[in-house]
Amino acid sequence: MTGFPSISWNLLLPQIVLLSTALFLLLLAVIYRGGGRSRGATVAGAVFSLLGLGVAAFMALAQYDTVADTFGAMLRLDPFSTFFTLLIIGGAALCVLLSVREAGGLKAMAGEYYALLIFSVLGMVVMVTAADLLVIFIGLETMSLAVYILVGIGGERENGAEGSLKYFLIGAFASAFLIYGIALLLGTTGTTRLDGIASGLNLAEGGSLQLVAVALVLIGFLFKIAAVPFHMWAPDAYEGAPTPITAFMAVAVKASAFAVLLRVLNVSLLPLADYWLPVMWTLAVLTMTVGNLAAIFQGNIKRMLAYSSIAHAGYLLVALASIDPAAAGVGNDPAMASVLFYLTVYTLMNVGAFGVLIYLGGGGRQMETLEQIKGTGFRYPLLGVAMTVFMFSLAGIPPTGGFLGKFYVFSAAVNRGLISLAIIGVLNSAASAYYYIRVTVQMYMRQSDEQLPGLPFSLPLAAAVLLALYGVFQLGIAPSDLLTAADRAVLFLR
Amino acid sequence: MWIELLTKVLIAGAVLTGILSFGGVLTWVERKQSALMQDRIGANRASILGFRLLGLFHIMTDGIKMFAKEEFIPRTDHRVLFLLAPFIAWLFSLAAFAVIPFSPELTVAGYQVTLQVANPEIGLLVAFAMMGMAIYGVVLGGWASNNNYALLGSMRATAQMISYEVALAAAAVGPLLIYRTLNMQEIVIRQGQLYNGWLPLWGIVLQPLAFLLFLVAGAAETKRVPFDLPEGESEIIGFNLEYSSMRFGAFMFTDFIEKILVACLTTTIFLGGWQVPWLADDGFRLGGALALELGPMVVWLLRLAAFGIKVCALIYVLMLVRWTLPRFRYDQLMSFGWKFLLPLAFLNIIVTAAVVLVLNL
Amino acid sequence: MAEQIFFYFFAALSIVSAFLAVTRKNPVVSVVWLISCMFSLAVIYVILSAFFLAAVQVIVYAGAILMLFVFVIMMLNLKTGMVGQLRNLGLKFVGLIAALLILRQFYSAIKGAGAMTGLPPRAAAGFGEAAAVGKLLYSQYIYPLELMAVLLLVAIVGALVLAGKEQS
Repeated sequence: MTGFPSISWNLLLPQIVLLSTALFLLLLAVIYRGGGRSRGATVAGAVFSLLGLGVAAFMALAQYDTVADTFGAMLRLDPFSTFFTLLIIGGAALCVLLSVREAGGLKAMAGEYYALLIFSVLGMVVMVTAADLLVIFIGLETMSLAVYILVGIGGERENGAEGSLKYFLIGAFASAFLIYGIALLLGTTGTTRLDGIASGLNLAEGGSLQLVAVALVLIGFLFKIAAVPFHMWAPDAYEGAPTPITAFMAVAVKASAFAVLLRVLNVSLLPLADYWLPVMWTLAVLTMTVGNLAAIFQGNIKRMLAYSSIAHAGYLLVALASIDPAAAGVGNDPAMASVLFYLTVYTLMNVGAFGVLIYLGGGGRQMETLEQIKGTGFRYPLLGVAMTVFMFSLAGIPPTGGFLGKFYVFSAAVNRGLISLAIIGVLNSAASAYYYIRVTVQMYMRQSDEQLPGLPFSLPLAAAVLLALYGVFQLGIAPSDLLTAADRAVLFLR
Repeated sequence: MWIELLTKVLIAGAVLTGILSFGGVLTWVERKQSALMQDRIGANRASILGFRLLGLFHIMTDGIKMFAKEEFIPRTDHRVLFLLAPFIAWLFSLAAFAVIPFSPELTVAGYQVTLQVANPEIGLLVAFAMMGMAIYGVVLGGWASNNNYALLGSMRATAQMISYEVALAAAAVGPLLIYRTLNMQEIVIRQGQLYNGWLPLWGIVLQPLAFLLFLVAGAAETKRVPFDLPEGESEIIGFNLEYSSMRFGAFMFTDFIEKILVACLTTTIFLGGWQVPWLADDGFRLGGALALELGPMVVWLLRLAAFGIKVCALIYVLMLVRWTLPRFRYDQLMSFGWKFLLPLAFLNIIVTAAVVLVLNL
Repeated sequence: MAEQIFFYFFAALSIVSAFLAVTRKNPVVSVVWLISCMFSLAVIYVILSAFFLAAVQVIVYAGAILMLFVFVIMMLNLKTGMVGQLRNLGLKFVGLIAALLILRQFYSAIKGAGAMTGLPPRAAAGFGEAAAVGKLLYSQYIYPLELMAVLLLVAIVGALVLAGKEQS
C-alpha cells in the first residue's frame, strides 16, 4: 500500500482556507505598527478571522451534498461532517465577535489570539471530517492544545494559569488513554480506519482486550465532553479562561467532541452496542445529576454555566444512550438527529448567555457573580431581556429552542423504551430551572448596592447576542428546517 | 558465529585502543600547536632518562598527575550520579565510534574484514543518538555536584548542546538527500564517483554550505572554543567544578574524544571517508589516461591512511579556530545556533531537494 | 535463542526501570530510570526489526524529551522530597484496587488473545529501515504527517505566547 493516494483537493478547501487564515493572522503583529496590541490590530484580526471563517464555511456549504473519501480514506466528507463543520465555524465566528473587546488586553498579541482560535477550529474541522482514528487523534490534539493555551492567556486573571494547567494536565492524561486505546484497537483489528475497525471487531477472537481498547478510547472522548466522572477540569478551566474562550470551549469544543463520539460509536463500535449502551445510560444519569446539583451551589455565574454545560452534556448522553443499533442505514435514528438539533440550539444559547455577561462587564465593573448582577435587569433593559430568554432556553421552557431540543432528546429516549431515563432527565431539567431562573431573579428582583455604570456600545457583541436571540426563537418556533437537515446528515453515517 | 564475534571484539578493541591513544596524542598536539601559534615553546620539561622527545612524555605525566591527585567528593545526595556522570559522557562518546567506517572491506584469508565495528543500515542515526546521549553526562554531573554554580554551568551546557544538535542534524540532511542512505559505508562508497571523470564527488564538493554548518555545529556540540562557555575554563565556573583528579580528567578527555568524533563524522560525510581521489579498488585510474596497478593490501593501507590524514587535518583546523577566536557570549551563542545556523541549514535542505528533484539525480 | 535472552532481559529491565521511575522520591533519579526504560524499549524495537523506530526512540525520547524533563527539574531546583507525596490512605487504597483490576483485565485479555509462541517472524529485507518508513509516511500517511506539522506549530506558538516576555 505504498502508492500515493488519490487526493481530491476540493474536499480539503475548508481546511486549507482555515490554515492560511491562521498563518496570516500570526503575521499580524509584524504588519501592524503598534505591535499586536493596538485597537487596529484587534479589529483587523477579528475582521480577517471572520473573513477566513466565512470563506471556509462557504467552501463547506458548496460541498454539502458530496459524499466522498480522499487521502486513501482518511478524510471523509458527507452531510454529517459538513453539518458539523458549519456548526463549528458558526460557533467560532460568534466567539470571534465576542472576543473583539477582550483580545487586546491579554497576554498574547491580537494576531496570536485569533490565530490560536482559528488553529483550534482547524483541528475541529479535521476531527469532524476524519475517517481514521489517527487523524481524529491529531485533530483532537490540535484543537485541545490551542484551547489549553487560550485558557491560560488572560493577562489580569490569576485563575487563568490554574485553569489552563488543570485542563492541560487532565487533558494530556486523557489523550494518553485515547492513544493507548487506539493502539490496542490497531493491534486487535489490524487497522485504524473507522470502518475497518467495525469489521475487525470480533469478540470471540479478540476477547476482552478489544473491550479494554474500546473503554480506553471512550474515556478519551468522554473527557473532552466533560462527562462525569471526567469533568474535574471543567469548572476551573471555564472560570479561569477569558469569557469569550469559555464560550468557545462550551460551544465548539463540545460540539466537535460529540461529533467525533457519534461517528466513532456509530461507525466503528456498532457491533459492541450492547456493551456501551448501558454505559451511556449510567453516565447520562451521573452527568445530569452531578452537573445540576453542583450548579445549584455556585455563586459565580461562569462556574455555574460550566456545571450547566456538564449537565447539558448529560442530556446529550441520554440521546446517545437511546441510539438504536438496529436502525442501521434504514431511515434514520431520531436519537442522533436530536443530538445535532440540540447541539445547534445549545451553541446559540450559550453564546448568547456569555455574550450578555461580557457586555455587562464592559463598564469597568466586574459582573461575574450573582451578587454583582443584582439589579442589572432594569438598568440595562435590553440585556436583561436577552439574558432572560437565554436562561429560559437553557432551562428548557417553551417557546425557546432549548425546550424543543430537550423534547426531541427525551422523546427519542421514550421511543427506545428508556422511560426511567427520560423521567430522570425531565426531573433534572426541572431542577435546573432553579439556578437558571435565579439569574433572572437576581437581575430583576433585587436592587443593586451602588450606581451601575453606563455600558459602552459594542457592535460585535450586540450583533452576536442578537443573532443568538434570533436563532433561539427561530428554532423554538419553526425548527423544521434544521430538523430535516439533521435527519439528512445522520442518514449517511452508516 | 564465534569467529565473527571474536573478529568483532578484536576490531572493537583495535578501534578503542586507536582512538584512546590518538586522544592522548591530541593532548600533546594541542599544547604544541597552541605554542606554535602563540610563538612560544610549549611544554617540554618531562623527560625519561634525559630524553625530552619534544614534550611527548607530557602525555604520560598528565595522566599520572591526574591519577595521583586527591579525589575529593563533595557532600551530595546523589553520590552515585556524581560518580557516574563523567563515565556516562565517556561511554556514549566512545560508543558512537562503533559505526565510523575507518576502512573498506579487506579480504583476509577468506574472511571479509572491515575496520568498522558495526554497519547497520541506520548508522548515521546511531551516531547522532550516541552524541545526544552523551549530553547526559554533563547535565547530571553539574547537577549532582550540589553546587549552584556547577548547576548553572550544566544548564548552560544542556541548552547549548541540544540547540546545536538540531543544527547538526539539519546540516547533515543535505548530503543525505544526495546519498539516499544512512549507512556509513555506503555514504563513503558513493563519494567515490567522479564527475566528468576527473572531479571526485566528495560531500564538500556537492554540499559546501552543509560542510561548514556541520563543522561549526559539531564544534559547538562538543563545547570547543569559541563555544566553551559551559566549561568556562579560564573565567567562569563550569559544570566540572566539583570534579577532581581522574573524574575531571575523564571530562577533559571526553572533550578530545568528541573532537575526534566530530572530525570522523565530518570526514565520513563530507570529505569522502577513506576514499583517496582517483584510487579505485585495484589501483589509480584517471579517466583511462593514468593507470597504476596496486595490490589490494596496498590500496587498503592507502585508504586507511587517507582517513587518518583527513581526520588530522580537520582536528588541526578545529584547534586553529580554538586558539584564534575569543569565547562567545551566551546569548550570542544561542542566537547564532537558532537564528543563523538552523535557517541556513533549512535553506540548504530546500535548495538541495529542489536541485535533486529537478535534475532527477 | 540469543534473541529470546535479549528480549526477556530488556523487557524485565524496562518494567523494573518504569517501576523505579515512579517510586523514587528524587525527581532526577526518576528521570534517569525513565531513560533506562526508553533504552530498553529501543532494544525491544530492534528485536522487532523496527530499526529506524529504535534510533528515533533514542534520539527523540531519551535524547531530547527526557533532556527537557531534566532541564525543567533542574531549573525548578526540585530536591528530594519536594514533590508532594500522596498522604491520603483511602485514595492509595482505591488506587491499588483499581490497578489490580486493570492488571487482571490486561492479563485475561492477553491470555485470550490467541496463541503466541516464540518470537515474531523474521521480517522481510528492508522492513523497518528508514527508506520503508519514509515511503509509507509520505505516501499513505501524508495527511496525518502534514497535520502533525500544524500541531507542532500550534505548540510552538503556544509556548511563546505563554512564556514570552510581555511586550508593553
